[in-house]
Amino acid sequence: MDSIKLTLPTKPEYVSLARLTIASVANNMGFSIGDVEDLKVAVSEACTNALNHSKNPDTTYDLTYIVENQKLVFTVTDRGIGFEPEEVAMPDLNGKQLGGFGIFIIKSLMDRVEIISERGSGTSITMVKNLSTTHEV
Amino acid sequence: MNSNNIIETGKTSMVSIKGEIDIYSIEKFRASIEKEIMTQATQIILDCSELSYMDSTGMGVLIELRNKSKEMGQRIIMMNPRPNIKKLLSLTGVDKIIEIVDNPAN
Repeated sequence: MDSIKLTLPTKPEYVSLARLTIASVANNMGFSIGDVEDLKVAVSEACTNALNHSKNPDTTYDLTYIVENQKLVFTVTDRGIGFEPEEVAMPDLNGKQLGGFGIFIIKSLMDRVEIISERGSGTSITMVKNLSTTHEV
Repeated sequence: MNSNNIIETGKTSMVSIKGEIDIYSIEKFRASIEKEIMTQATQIILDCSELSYMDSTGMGVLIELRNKSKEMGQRIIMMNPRPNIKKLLSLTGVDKIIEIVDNPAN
């Protein structure tokens, strides 16, 4: 089991770095092209969440990857104000409520998602993607 | 994101969206489409052939711009989005409110 930890500045220009690193790790593990795309979206959504919603007074947040035999476990942790995951409303296509897409997308694309958020101390989103045994043609 | 290739053909504006749309490039994307909404174009076609990545930040702005253009009597059409982007458009339901076309030339 290998573990990789990145500390990223809370600046939008570095979210692409999270996508680049997860693509590299996932490619090495043998994930399909489609799964690599899904992983890029999931990590990007979690990083965007850390930047947008955490009101992070800190200048950095952490991203860790744990490479296991048949799965990739990755966590985005910020030290912001936290939020109530159950209170995130579903987005509304009429434009009245545009937030909430990020968490919805992460849950749709990943095999397991755990959100731990504590008011005043931050949010941690852990996502798991299993290495599929079927191969794309 | 690079979207400086804007071609106006009659009442249709074609905007070529290139690269990645995320939290970093979103304002540039929003500004380039808003500029088109201000014109007389009845159709705004977003050529997504060279758009490699878009996430929920882009989806949110697309919905916002679609609603704004609808008020102005205009249509926004996405042309040739790649499979990874089509998947998200379908997952979020954005494909139900924004027309998506595949150009057979591609």
